[in-house]
Formats: sequence, C-alpha cells, structure tokens
Amino acid sequence: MAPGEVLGLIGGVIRLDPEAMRAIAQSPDGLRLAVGILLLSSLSDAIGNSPILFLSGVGGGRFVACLLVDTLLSVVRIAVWIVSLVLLLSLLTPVDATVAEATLVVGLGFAPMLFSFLALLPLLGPVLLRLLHAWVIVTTIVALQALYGLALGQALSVAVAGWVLVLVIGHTVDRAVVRGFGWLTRRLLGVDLLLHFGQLDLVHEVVAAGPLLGPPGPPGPPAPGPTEPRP
Amino acid sequence: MSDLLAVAGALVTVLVIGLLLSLLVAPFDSLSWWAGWVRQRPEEPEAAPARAAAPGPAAPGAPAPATPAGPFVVFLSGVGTMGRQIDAWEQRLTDRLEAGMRGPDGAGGGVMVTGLFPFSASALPLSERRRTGAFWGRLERLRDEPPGRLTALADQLVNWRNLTQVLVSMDPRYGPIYDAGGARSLYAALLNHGFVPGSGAPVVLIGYSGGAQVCLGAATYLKPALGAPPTVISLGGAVGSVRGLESVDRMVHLYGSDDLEQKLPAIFLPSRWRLARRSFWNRALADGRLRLVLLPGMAHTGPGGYLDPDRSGPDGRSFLEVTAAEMLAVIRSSAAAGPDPSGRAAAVSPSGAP
Repeated sequence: MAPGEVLGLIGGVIRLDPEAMRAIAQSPDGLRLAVGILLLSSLSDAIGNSPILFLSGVGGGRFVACLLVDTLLSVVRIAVWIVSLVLLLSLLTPVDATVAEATLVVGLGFAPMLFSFLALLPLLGPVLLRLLHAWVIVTTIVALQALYGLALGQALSVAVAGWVLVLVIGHTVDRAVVRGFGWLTRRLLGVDLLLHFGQLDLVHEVVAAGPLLGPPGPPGPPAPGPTEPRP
Repeated sequence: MSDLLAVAGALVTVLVIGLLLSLLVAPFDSLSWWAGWVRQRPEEPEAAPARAAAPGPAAPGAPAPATPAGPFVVFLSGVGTMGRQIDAWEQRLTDRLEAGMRGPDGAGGGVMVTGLFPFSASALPLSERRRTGAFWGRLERLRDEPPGRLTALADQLVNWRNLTQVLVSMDPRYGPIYDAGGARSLYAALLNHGFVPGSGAPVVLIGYSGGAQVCLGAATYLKPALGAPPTVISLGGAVGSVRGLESVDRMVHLYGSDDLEQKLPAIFLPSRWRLARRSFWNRALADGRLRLVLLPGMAHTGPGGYLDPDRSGPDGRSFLEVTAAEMLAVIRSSAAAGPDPSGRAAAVSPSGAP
C-alpha cells in the first residue's frame, strides 16, 4: 500500500468508517498494518509518558532505551488484549477468531492511540488521553461489527468485557508483572518506567532531590533600562 | 476566490499545527532543565542589583545602614517580556511603589526587586538561549521597530511562547518542576538584595498577568525557605487553582472589569469554578486568604489598562495611581503585620468575584 493510501485508511478507521476497516482487513498487508499501528501507538503512548523520565534525570542513550522498553511494555499489555479478545469472541459470539484476526481487530481499535503523544499537552493532555481511551472502545466495537457482522449488542459486550478483563488483569496479574518489570527497569535503566505522574507527590520529589534553594550568587549585571511600552 | 480560500485554509492549518507543536514542546523547557540537559542551571540567577528605596539624608556621623528590614517586594512582568527588562509602563508602576514605600518624610522604605525573567525554569532570557537565541534576538530587535503588522506578530509570538509556560506551571504534572525553577530565581534574588531567611521580613510577590501564576507556583517552595509565607499580589493574573495558594500568607487578585485575559482561567479551568468547592482556589477564597479586588473600567494592558497614567476613573485618579494605591495598601499592611515566622495567615475577607 502507498503511504498516502495507508494514511487515508487509518484516518477512515479513526472516523469509524466500516469500509476503511474492511479494506484493511481484506488487504494482503492488513495484518502488517495493524501490527504497525499497535507498535506506533505504543511508541506514541511511551512518548506521552516520557516526562517521567526527565523527572528521574534520565538522559541521552538511556532515554531512548527507556522509550523502547516502555513501548515493549505497552506491547505486552496489548497482547493481553488480543488473547482476551480471542477468548471472549469464542465465549460470547459464534465467531471463532484466530490470534491473527484478533490482532487485526485490536490494531484497528488502537488507531486513535496513535495520537496518545498529545498527552504531553499542558492541561489538555490528560483530558485528551481519556477521550482517546474511550475512542479505542468505540473503534473496537465498530471494527467488530464491520469485520464479523456482529450486532451492536454483541460487539458492545465483547468490547466492554474485554476492557473489564484487561482492567482486572491490570490490577492483579499485570501488577505482579509490572513489579517485576519495575524492578528490572530500575536495575537496568535506573528508572521505574511504570511510574505515572498520578502516583507521585511531585513537590516532595523535587524537595527530596536536593537543596533547591541555595545560597546567593554574585550580584548580576545592572538592570537594563525600561523598554518602550508594549500596549 | 476558491484559490484564496484554499491559501487561507492552508495558512490557518499551518498556524494551528505550529501553535499545537509549540504547546507540545512547552513542558520540555523546564523538564530538560530539571534533568540537567540544558547547560545552564540557575545556580545564580541574575537579578537587578539591590534598589532599596533611598532613605532621607543621613545625619552626620550616623551609623551605616543595617540590613534592610523589608518589605521585600518582587515584581514579575507579564507574558510580553522576553528577558530581564521591564517596559516603561511597568517601570512607572515600580517607581511609584518604591516612592510609596518610603513614606511622606522619605524615611523607611523597602526593597524593590525587578529584573527576573519569569517564563523559564532556568530563568534564562529568550535571546540568550543556545539553540533558539538567534531567533528570539531577531524578534526582539523587530519589536523595537516602529509599530506595524510585523511588530504586532512578533508581540503575539512572544505572548504565546510565554503563555505556554504559564500553562505548564498550572499543570499538576509539570507545575512542581517549573515552579521549583521560579522559586530558585526568586529566592536567590531576595538573598542578593539582603533578605535574611527566618528574619520574618515581609516578602510581597507582585505578578502581572502570567507572572502572577509564577509567583503563586513558587510560593510552595518559598514559604519554608523564607521562614514565613509570602504575600502575593496578582495584577490581572492568569492564575490557576494551584497548590501554592496553600503556602501564601494571603493573595490579593486585582482585576479590571474590562480585563478579558484574567477571566480565561476562571472560564476554562474547572478547578476555578464555584462547583469545585474543595479546590485550592475556592478553599483560599472561603478562608479569606484570597481576596478579589475589582478595579472598575480597567483593561489588561495598554491604553485603558491597569498601568495607564492618562486614563482616569470617576474619582479623578489615573488608572496607574489606583493600581499602585491598591498594591501599596497590601504592601503596607504586610509590613505593619511585621515578622510572623509562625506562618499564620492574616485574616482578610473575600470581596466580590471576577
């Protein structure tokens, strides 16, 4: 597929166009495109969460390494999504999906997360991220309808059950994995990649980092005279 | 006609993308400073040398003046600034404040501190930056030319760049880091001007427009460092509901009835809405640490603004005189309250809302 065509199709997926979703599914490059979306959206998510790396004073090559490891961690979480979808489709619907087909659906569903780097935006970022998460559910529902012809109720139940399952796993099994990864990343990279801003008292972190307000320095240069008014 | 519309559409698209990109990279100014990525850390921020309000003529043989007892008044400019300079409008205000602190007989007085660049955690003026300094320097020279479309565009670019930093300060994820830089600059400037930590000398931080947010954010770190909570005066401040409100002795928000800019945070930030009763802003309002003072007829800036010496209110005083008088009343009451190392808040009743 030409780059322009790919961008057009991804735009169509985000706009919830079933035709664009079917075009990707029927294309020989469909699965590769879905995996590409998943990897890029994971990288975008890692970039959106990258300010935490600055807080830990990570720089240079280690910064890039942290971004890549963070991307891999997102991929692991997406793998949980994919396996959950295979199970739920077989339990709740007559569809017997393969892992590749489920990857395609999740890849389409995650297309809005390509914009998750926008979480960086001051004040707006966290709100946009929540909207993107909600849009992932909506896109997944439409993708399930478009690719498998499921009724709205069936698609909704699979997407919501999948989301709940991922949340449950995230609060149980995932935590253990996360702790292991957290320990590993702390050991290898010197930073806990699983930390999020919401978990930190940043003022405490800043104060704990060292003497913030030091002794006075030498007097500075004379103050420049006033400039022209800027009405 | 359709070609013209297409060009206009393309221009608007480029503009929106440019604004979005600049907003996206805005947090990295303070984050990279914190991570030590930028060469300069503000170990010794450069502020104007001490300009204590000159006392009256000393008697022959009188002892050398002691360490100033304050009040220490720090003025931070609005989002139009590019460096340590303050413009002529702001200079008139700080001159009045200095004169007003002296009293009628020329005795007493406080210390006026200016010359800080508030819109960067590193306190580095825009034109002195390693990578982008040349661009900002060119823009600075452009702004010195006779007013025109290009100078207006340059003004708006600078305003936007600094506004993005104000938004960074308001964001709970980035604010504590950005504010640490602001606090560092303010504290070093105070020490350079003779402030003795723990002395209880009153410290009043005046922030114009976006500068008010920087003052408020820095208060979190300044309160323990100074040994007493500072007083903050916001002049048409674009301020959020931030943790710093818990660390001020009191904050007085002066706002003009024609000032649209200072209203924007109250409209767009849910934590400034009345519904958010437990927000820092509403808690400070409820317990009297935050007082809102209406300045009738005044706009944010320029002619008709807070610092206009030519426009007068109903009582015949110029807008500049009214603004300075309100500020001096706060400064004097802080000075009269005297040393208060306990950090107790002065009781001030709220009045009105913007």
